[in-house]
Amino acid sequence: MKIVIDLSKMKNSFVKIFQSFLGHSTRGYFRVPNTPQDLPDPKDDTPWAGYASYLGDQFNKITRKDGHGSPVFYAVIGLILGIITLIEFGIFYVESLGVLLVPLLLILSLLKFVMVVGFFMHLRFDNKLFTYLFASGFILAVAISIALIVLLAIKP
Amino acid sequence: MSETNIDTHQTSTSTGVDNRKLLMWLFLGSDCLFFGSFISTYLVYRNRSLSGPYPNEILDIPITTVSTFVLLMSSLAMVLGLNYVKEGRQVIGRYWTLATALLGMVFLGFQVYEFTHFAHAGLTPRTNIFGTTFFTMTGFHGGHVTFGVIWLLIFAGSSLANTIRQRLLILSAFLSVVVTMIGFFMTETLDVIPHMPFAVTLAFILLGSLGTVLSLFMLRTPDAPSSVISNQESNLEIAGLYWHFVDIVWIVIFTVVYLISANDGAPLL
Repeated sequence: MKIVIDLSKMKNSFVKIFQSFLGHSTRGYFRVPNTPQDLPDPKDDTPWAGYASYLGDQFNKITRKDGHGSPVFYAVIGLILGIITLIEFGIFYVESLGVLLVPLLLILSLLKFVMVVGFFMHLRFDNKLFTYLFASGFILAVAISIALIVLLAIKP
Repeated sequence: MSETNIDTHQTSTSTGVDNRKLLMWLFLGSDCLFFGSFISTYLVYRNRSLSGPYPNEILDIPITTVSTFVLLMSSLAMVLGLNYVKEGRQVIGRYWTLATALLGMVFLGFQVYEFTHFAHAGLTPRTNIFGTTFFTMTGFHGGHVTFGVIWLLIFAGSSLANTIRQRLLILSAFLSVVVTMIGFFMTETLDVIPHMPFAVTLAFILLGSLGTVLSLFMLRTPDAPSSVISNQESNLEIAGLYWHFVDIVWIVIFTVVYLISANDGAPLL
């Protein structure tokens, strides 16, 4: 007796098992989207889909992805930058932070950096080419700095 | 107003973006490497000074926090100025551009104060490795700020002011601020002339402040006709990019050099 292995049938049975586990159609997971018809519908069928897209939309709305900011928007950004500077100044005198101080300061400084570059320098609203150009220079500078410090500053 | 709102984003270049802006971003990317090398050199030689003064004896964090705040606010003034110029509101754009340059000058004043204070305390670029790396890095940053201030003042005088009277008033506002700052420095740090009578320094401060307020008040002349306002929007945007970059470099220097290394003392040999 000749055994015929039908791959498509095997795949379908596996899909059915997964479907029974997940409790919904697995279109988004198993089909490679080649044409618009193959794209998952709804677009994101994960359990957190509603929240994720809502938060994404809100973030884009707050950060004015579709256009330039207004004077009030820039003033709010300026205020946040001032507050972060004040927080940096404040935590500098908190001795109980210990080794946490340096990472905290670096995170706050990075936040300020990103806000100025993104909103004041308009990278958030502008052509992506500028972002790539600047980011390549910046990442190269950070990489060289880290390499120099590792090579020269850290004593064996 | 809407007639003056020239859309400079639709440029007919092969990249689809303004070539001068592209050049500025390329320059800023390379300038990251320039300052990155100074900052990493400072960190490599951190804690290796064999003689004082050491950072924990000399760095004044409260004053530097104020100067950092001043530079951040100058960035805010810059972006507001550009926003108003884009809307075609020339007068208010001119004020914000001037405010940016003046805040930059105040920052430079803080730096002059700090450098003078350090020199009095015995720290010069040749004292120890901390002095060498510190003064080279902050000095080059101060040089960038100075260049930015001059650029913004020339821009405000040439592009945003249309008459000789307006240009003279911008120059007068600038000189008045310089006179005020000289007055402040004479009371505190700079021993330009020893035993300067207090009345003279007070006269400098009062005359300078009065001159600044008067010049700015008289500058409030109406907008030029829309035909006069030409390609100033993209010119100001490029100057603004440079200014914001100077600001972000200071954000990094303030954290890495001042806050993180402020407690560094003599090396543990």
